[in-house]
Amino acid sequence: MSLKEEDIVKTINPFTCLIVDDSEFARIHLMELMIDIIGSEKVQFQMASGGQEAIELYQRIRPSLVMMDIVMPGIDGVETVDRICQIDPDAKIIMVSSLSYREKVRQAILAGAKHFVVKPIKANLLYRVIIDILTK
Amino acid sequence: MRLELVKAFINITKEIFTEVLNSEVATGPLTLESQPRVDSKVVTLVDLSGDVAGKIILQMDFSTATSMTSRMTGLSNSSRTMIASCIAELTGMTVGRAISWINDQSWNIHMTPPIVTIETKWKLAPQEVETLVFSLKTACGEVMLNVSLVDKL
Repeated sequence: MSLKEEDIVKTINPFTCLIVDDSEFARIHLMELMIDIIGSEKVQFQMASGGQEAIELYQRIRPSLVMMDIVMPGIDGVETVDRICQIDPDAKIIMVSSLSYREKVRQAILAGAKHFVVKPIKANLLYRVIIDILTK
Repeated sequence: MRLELVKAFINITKEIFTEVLNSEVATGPLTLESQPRVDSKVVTLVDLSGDVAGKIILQMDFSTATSMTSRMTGLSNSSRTMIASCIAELTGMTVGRAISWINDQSWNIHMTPPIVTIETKWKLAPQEVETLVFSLKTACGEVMLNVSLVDKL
């Protein structure tokens, strides 16, 4: 990370991030990546393994940021984004998925997602997207 | 089976495995079978629907799955739950990216979340489904990929 990037990270207030993914590995991997790029002192995590759990958690904790998978059993990620945005139209949600064809990205953005990160995740891209969404 | 779709699965599987495992991956010979070949300890299944119906089945030995999990987590030991989760994620990334490429060529295919079984005896339905089988030789061991696609258009 360059000095300039470190300075940007310093301006971010500590925040809560909700990670939604049915894969335990994916949840832990994303949490570790975020700690690497933002720092453990800046972010607290909550985890959900499915859409319904994510909606209930969102209502309870109102996280500053949501990282959302798409392909999950039950309510999928796009539908979950839609329901969360009905609760809070200003929800800051980043889709994190390998399912990244144009129509799916369009559906996610229409549902209310602010960004789309394609799996496998590239740390530098994830960093830029998180900084962008948190500094707006 | 449309060759363009099969090619997408082969190329993207190789690409994702190379990126995630951070090592060279070679593809072995392709064979056409009358149904999926399922004879390993760790089997991952993804069902496809939409313009194409079918199955993607990825299989490997337990030692290969363990070695891949170590590479992905950076840990030397992992629980069976974590091994299943890693292999499911790897399969999900592979199939998801392949479907994304295919759907951007004006197809409409959907996938189910991957289901991983470890040391479970599989019984596939007896009907014949033309299946393309190919192997990937990775630094962690060999992986067999079964691609069974039935064109609905």
